[in-house]
Amino acid sequence: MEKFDHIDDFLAKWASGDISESEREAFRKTKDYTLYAAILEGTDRLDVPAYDKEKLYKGTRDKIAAEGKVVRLVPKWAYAVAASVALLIGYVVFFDQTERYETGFGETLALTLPDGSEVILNAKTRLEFQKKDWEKSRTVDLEGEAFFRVTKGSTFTVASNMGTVTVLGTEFTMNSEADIFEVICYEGKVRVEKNGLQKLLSKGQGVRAMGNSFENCDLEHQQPSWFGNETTFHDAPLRQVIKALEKQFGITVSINDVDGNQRFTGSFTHDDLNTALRTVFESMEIRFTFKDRDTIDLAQE
Amino acid sequence: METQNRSVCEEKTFSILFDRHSEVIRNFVYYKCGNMQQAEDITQDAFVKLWKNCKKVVFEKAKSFVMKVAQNAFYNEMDHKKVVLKYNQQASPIKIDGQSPEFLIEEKEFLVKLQRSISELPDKQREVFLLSRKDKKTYREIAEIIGLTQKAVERRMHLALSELRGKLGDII
Repeated sequence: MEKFDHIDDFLAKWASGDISESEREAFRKTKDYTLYAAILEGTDRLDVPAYDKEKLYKGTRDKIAAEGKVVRLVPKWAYAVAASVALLIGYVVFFDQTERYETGFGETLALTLPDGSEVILNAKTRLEFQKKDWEKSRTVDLEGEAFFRVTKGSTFTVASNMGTVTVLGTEFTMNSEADIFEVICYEGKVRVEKNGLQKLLSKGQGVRAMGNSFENCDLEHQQPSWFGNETTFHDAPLRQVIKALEKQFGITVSINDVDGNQRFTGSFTHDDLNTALRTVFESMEIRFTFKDRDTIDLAQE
Repeated sequence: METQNRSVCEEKTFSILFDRHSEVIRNFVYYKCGNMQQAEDITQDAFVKLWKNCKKVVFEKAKSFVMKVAQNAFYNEMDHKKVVLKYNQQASPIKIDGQSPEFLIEEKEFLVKLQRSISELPDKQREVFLLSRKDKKTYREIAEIIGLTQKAVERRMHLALSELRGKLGDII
């Protein structure tokens, strides 16, 4: 199995028959093959409890009918009571109107905000906003990386621990976590603020925080570098690339004596961890070793 | 397709939707919580809600609507039991490439361990594994049900299998 250990979806592909004849042959020779095959065979012998569709359907219709009746049987004065109960419930629910969205390792998520603005979250990213205040101030909190397509309207703000972005109808990405803060503008204008520093970005401009100053980063593409099946970097600090790898594949990378500020230009695939690691590290003459299946040690060659 | 412009409020359309999607919803919730009563209740309630909202939900969106409602209901209730599938006593013996491996001499013991190992999988891996193997859903369909990318589903499937191997490994 050693050979297949670090391909993180190999067994899924094998189980669904989605691998080549030669891969299948090679896998058949490994020592764990019989056990894997027995797991699938054995699972075929396990039974999911029987399904009585008609009974369930009848039950559903009964519930619908029952709910219909309740409404008709309620005397008029009950509506007043119901209304005050509804008010009370409404009040309780009102208190926590925080909407939260979160992605796991290697996942992306597209969502639409109440005003029709679109957001696409990259891997391992959290976004929160208050539904209650939405009309007054369009503000979202972001931890991680996301692409925004904002509809015209009142000021739209993206806040994070690292800095803040204010916009009026525009497209941009923002990447903000522990020691990374990067904003790229694809359309319109955005204002970036961090520790008293300010910068106005127009279409095609990007900015990255390095210590206490901003540096420009060019826009290479019409859309975020992580749409599709790979993530692309242009002259980016290595630690930012490593963070992206960790979030894409759910791994931990120990950077050790390697300089996290050296620059990387290139892209890595989302399909295969080994290939991704090789494209990034081999070109930078960094040796990587697996401590276990999801922990990786780096060393400068 | 003739159903395309139909209103979900028509009983016939509604029953078609129930026919197509109710079983996988029930199983999906069951794989998560292991409580069949709860799984069936949640499935019924999801369709009741669909009926109530039938004017607002178009036919093409009905499937994802009930999936979403069922998932939310599940998160609200969260009554966890172990998912234990019964093994089939009548089935023919397991053969791998035409042979019966040595560790399967005690086949019943193997199935009992497999049963237990599946019930001990993390929920997220178990639901993917069982939707794939028992409901014969493709990874793409599972991705749609759970609301993840296909790639993430394939990773969970891979993890589930390698986890099961780990748990069953000591019997060889």
